[in-house]
Amino acid sequence: MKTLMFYSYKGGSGRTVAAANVAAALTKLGNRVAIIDLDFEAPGLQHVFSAEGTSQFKSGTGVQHYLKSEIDVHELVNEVAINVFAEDGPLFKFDVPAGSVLMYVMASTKVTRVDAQEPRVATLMKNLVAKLREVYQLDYLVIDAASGIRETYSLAADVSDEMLVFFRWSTQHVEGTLRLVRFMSRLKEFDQSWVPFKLVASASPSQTELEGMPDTDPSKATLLRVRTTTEAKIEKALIECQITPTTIFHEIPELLELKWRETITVFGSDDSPYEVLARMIMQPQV
Amino acid sequence: MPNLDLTGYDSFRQMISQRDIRPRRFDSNVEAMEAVELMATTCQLGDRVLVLRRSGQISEQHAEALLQDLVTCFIGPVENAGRVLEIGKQLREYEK
Repeated sequence: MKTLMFYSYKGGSGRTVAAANVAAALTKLGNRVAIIDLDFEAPGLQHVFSAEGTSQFKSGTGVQHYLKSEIDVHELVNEVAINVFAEDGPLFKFDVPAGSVLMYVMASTKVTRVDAQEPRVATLMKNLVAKLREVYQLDYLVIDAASGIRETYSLAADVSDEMLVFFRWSTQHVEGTLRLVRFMSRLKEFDQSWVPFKLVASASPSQTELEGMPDTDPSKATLLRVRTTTEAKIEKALIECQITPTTIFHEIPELLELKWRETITVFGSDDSPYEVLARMIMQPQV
Repeated sequence: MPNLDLTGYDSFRQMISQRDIRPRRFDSNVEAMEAVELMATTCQLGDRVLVLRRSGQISEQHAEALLQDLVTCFIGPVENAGRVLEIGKQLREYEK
């Protein structure tokens, strides 16, 4: 099983929509997948999976209750988790190959504080990952992690094999992403474990979209300049830090992201950028 | 106080590596991230101590004491974060 952490230093990068769609694409491609919402302060996967009407969502129980030891792992994995594409699942209308599955472990939308610094919570998280793997025979586990660097970052990073770092082509997003890259470099420098990562440019106009804009549009020059300068900054920082992501950046264009915002879009075609990313994830590492 | 033989080292990193002082492994990523930032600062401070010693701005005895402290900070960065700040302040005074 491969565990993928979807992360962004700043919010508003399209990370949650991408996590849901990549998980759906992996399922569409025949895999057994689970997704955990670890964005405790602002959970959003329930909207993307149209799960607000389910009895599990209405119960208000989520992964936070498990991490606070208010429910056990059996209850979370077997009763709280939602089988998204099952006949009684919220997205039953989509056909997925026989044998594939997408289990969604939701975060409660009720304010439920978790002290993620406690070693006991880290152990519970590891146990949850092991249980999901065992019960559902998973190929992939996707974690939608909260933005910023906080204690829940560790909960996700400590169990992940790879991180997908989402950013927009904006100064705040790029500088934050570079800060993370520098952290990774420092971890490597001082012999600490670090998570290999892919950089994913999202929720911004793609190069093709930008080039297609009329020259008379005053925002074209600004957008191109921001993109060019921030792109150069990323490349320079990666060289300076002597750290290489597994993919420099995959791109999820803004127009696509906006058009189908907050829904699962990968069943409409085979060339959505989410499915391309899923296929990239499935490629064996050289 | 053990003699660290300052003149033999070009940098703090070289000193700790030749003395086989290795960074501790941290259990969680966030703890490690906090620690490595402090470790990097500790190494920069160590280099500044060596420069100040070479230029004669601080005595050998004082430099050794500071380096010994910085080694402690390097091994336990989070618990000695306050000391890292204090040494930084001290060095800025010498560098004025």
